[in-house]
Amino acid sequence: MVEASRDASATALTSTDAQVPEGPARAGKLRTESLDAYFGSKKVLDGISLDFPAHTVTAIIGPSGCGKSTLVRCLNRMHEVTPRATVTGRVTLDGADLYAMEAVTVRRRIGMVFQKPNPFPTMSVYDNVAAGLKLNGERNRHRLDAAVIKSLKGAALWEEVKENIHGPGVRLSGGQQQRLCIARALAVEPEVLLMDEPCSALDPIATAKIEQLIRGLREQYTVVIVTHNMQQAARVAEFTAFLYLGKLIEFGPTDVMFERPKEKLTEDYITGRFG
Amino acid sequence: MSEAGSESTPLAIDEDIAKVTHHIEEMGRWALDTARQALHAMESADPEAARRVLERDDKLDTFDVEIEQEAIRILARRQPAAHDVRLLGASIKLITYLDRIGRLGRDIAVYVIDAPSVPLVPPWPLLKSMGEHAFSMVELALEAYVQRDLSKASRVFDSDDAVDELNRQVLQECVRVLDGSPPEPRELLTYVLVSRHLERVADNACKVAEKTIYMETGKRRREFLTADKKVVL
Repeated sequence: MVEASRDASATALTSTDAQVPEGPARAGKLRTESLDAYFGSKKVLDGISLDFPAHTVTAIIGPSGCGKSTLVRCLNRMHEVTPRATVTGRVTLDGADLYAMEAVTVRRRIGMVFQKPNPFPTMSVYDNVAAGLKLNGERNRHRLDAAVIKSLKGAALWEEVKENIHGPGVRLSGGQQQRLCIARALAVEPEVLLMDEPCSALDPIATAKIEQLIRGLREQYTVVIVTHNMQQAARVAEFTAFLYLGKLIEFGPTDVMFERPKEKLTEDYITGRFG
Repeated sequence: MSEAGSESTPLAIDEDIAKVTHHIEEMGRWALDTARQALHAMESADPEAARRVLERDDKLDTFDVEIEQEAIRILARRQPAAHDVRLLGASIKLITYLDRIGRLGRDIAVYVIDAPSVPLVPPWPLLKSMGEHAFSMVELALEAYVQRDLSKASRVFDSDDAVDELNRQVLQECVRVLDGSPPEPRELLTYVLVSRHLERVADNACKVAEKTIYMETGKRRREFLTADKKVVL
């Protein structure tokens, strides 16, 4: 069973050398305070304090095993699904403690898109998008239709699938399947969208479409994207966080991070001079 | 996971950047020699030497085009960040400044060809001193760039005021001589133009130093000089 303890005395950035963003402070939609995460006794996140400003895209970068995916999984309580996985510290959404809410509510308000497109294999395009709404009890056909169309348009997929919306979701191309998964996440009207390497299985054309979509999504959502591709972070994110060995090394506006990072570790990583 | 900061084989981008740095140094020396030879041709009133200065133009063009292409190729292929991208961005600007230095020398050579018997009238020693200052600034700026030496880059700015003051003195002296209705006023007008050219050579040396500071620190000149006022370089 997961334990999500909270340290009320935690203060921001106490155990890292992370830098705060330059310029006027923006309200953090989503926030972590002294977040530690464990698999059993192994600590995989160490004192992460981060603000994800509303209506921005924040990229999380870092080498394999640095804790990027664990961090986003803590942001919608997916980490605790893993046996013996625990979290300490605080994660808040609009100031409210995520770990004091129902996990289902958290995951409705904070949607997630995974590395590999994972449409429900036996479902049509329509049913894939409507699945979350139906799970939440929506049965009204007109409302479902409207939500499916809106979500597919939001995911920039509507024009490509509207003629065959009842065809199988798995018949779509890889890039279309990933946008279908994004539409599925948007259908339940989340406030935050977490994306864990959403383009790593896609070709450059499909990647470009997803990136264009991500830039548009910030109008309505707060987006957090984990990526191994630093150029992708540079292209889509306003803010970037660099993690190394479970610690937040640097956080700031993306253009500053990529042009003149403050930490040598960050510079070594983004210029490919690690190891 | 690999550890950061350990010794490793140089990256391809390191080799690319070393080449760009070397070619910029070569271009800088070529531009500086062009300007030096032009002023020397003026001193010796030697139109043949001045014509040889004009022949240096093509190579300056070649440096300009090839270094720019090289930098763009690296940007496209290596997708640099941080110091690497600052260096390449600075390099694309540097070739413009170095090209200007060479072309200012070329213009001086053209004045020598147009009026080959320039006498060494009174403002000349000031003009010569101005040239020495300006050329030393270019030399120092190039060293600062190649050696990534912020102390040398800062020292380039120190000489700029001296060049500006010499420029003012040359103009004053030319006006004074012109007031006496000299028989060949054209030579003095040439001195005014050359003085202005040398002042611009010094300005371009400052630009090279500014870009070196940006490349190494990510800071602009004013920000760097303010922030590092108390730092002993």
